[in-house]
Amino acid sequence: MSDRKRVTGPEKSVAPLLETGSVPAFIFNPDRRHDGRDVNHLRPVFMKSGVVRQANGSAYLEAGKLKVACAVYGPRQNQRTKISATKGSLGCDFKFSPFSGGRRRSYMKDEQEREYSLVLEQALSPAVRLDLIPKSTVDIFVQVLESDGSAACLAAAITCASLALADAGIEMLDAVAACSAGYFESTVCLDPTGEEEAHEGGSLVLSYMPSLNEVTHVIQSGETSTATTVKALELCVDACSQIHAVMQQSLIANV
Amino acid sequence: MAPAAAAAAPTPAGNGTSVSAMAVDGDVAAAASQGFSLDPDTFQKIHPAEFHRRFLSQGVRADGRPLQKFRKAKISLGPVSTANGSAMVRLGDTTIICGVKAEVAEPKPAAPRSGFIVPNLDLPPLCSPNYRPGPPSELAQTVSEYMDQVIKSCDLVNPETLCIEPGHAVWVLYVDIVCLNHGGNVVDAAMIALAAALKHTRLPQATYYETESTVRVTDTFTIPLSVKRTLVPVTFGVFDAAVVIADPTAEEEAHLSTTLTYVLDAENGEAAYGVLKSGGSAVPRDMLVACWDDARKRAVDVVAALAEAEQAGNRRPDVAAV
Repeated sequence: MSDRKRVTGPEKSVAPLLETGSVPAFIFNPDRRHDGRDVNHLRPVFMKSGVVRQANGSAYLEAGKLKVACAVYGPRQNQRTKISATKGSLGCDFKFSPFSGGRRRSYMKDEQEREYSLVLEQALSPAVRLDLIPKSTVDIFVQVLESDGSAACLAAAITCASLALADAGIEMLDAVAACSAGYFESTVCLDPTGEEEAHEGGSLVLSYMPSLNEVTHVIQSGETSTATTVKALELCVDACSQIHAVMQQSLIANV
Repeated sequence: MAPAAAAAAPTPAGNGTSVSAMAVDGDVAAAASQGFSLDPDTFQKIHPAEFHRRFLSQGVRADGRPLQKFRKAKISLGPVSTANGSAMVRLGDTTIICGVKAEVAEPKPAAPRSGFIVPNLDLPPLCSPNYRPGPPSELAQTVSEYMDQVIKSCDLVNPETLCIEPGHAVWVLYVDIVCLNHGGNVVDAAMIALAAALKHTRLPQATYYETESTVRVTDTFTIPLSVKRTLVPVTFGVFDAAVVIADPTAEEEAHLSTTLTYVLDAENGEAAYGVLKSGGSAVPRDMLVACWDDARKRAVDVVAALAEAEQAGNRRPDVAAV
């Protein structure tokens, strides 16, 4: 697809292949993962709100190598035609930076970004008091600077967006914290990295409101047993409470 | 240096300068004569151009800087480990991240040894309320195109050094520049980020296998690019077609009559690789010339900041607090 509005290089380019045998085989050890965590631990997470000056609210999140920035604009006039007189709407836009992953991503939105934009909206809408802002929209823009595990990226985006909403002073029932888990047979592994994600049998992303003890969104893929899924949900709920504590701290720090 | 300047300046929130004391013309003067006054924040919202004009007439700017003072460039190298090279540049509130990704492509038949450098500036809707999702804004298009021209014309990186196998495979360097916080003067921040990221770029050792016609690379990035020079952009804003201010902020940019950008070579003070006066009002010729000296001084400061960033160490685990 030619893009007349950008500087374009050659028509086709590919990420180079690695020399055969240069990558050591991946071995999953539940007690000691490559970054030193065990399966029940999150990556250390850093959050900061109020980073984009012109935005109504914004936040930055870093967990290991994962880096996500989010800005919230609004409530402002709805640009689209469908205007509900009784409820406001959330406009979510999820974007990977071109250099954020293994291969270079195009500026055009791909399927994954579209899906994540939608999940973002679904995960946050139940928490936001949209009934208080009829006829208007709140735009949420998420930019991934560096990704390390796509499910973890989605979870980080939800958490970061929720923090930015709080920073913007948009009324919510509770902050939404999100967390991902990967399945290795019957072992549930919290917050998998990109390397682990390439070898897992399935994944789950839970969005949860810790103070209300309510779930806003779950998305799971892959084949697991019911017991494993329940175990993963419980693990994620605990992790979300930890994330929620960090969110609160960073909001207080910005006051 | 900065705090002293700030203390001397009539900052909008600080000293409570009431508008009635400063009023000169039009409805504001009329209002003032009736003893009506606005607080500075409200005044800025209602008469933004007049707000800046008042400051500039006093030889100072709304953020406390003197007219010709630039914001310090803060550069950190290697914030993004998935890129072959990356840099984050901050000028005041403006925050820009540049990542270089290397891919492999077939060279053009006419230039079988020449690789490609593809610079693009992205101003996502995240960075400012003025941008919406969709195709790039005109500013982004102009700057991307201008950077491409400058890189090519000044031979920043010899394209032949990007050759893997003549006629079969060359490197393509995608230089993607993303603005995270639009605090004005994105052009300078973007081009400094580009210069810093290219200096920080490391390519893997690549081998071309003729039998399978593929390129395979090692998993470590070791080979630095041979970047010929350090390009430093220096931007001035022109207010009311008369007052020159260095390094405008986003608020000032909205009311400028035109901007001047010089692209200099830091090592060779006499060399210039680009001058861009983008539209707007006409400026006298001596103004164009007078800005050169300030631009050269600025270039020296930026190069010092770059050297500092390089000394601070490549690829350190950077907490890239935006």
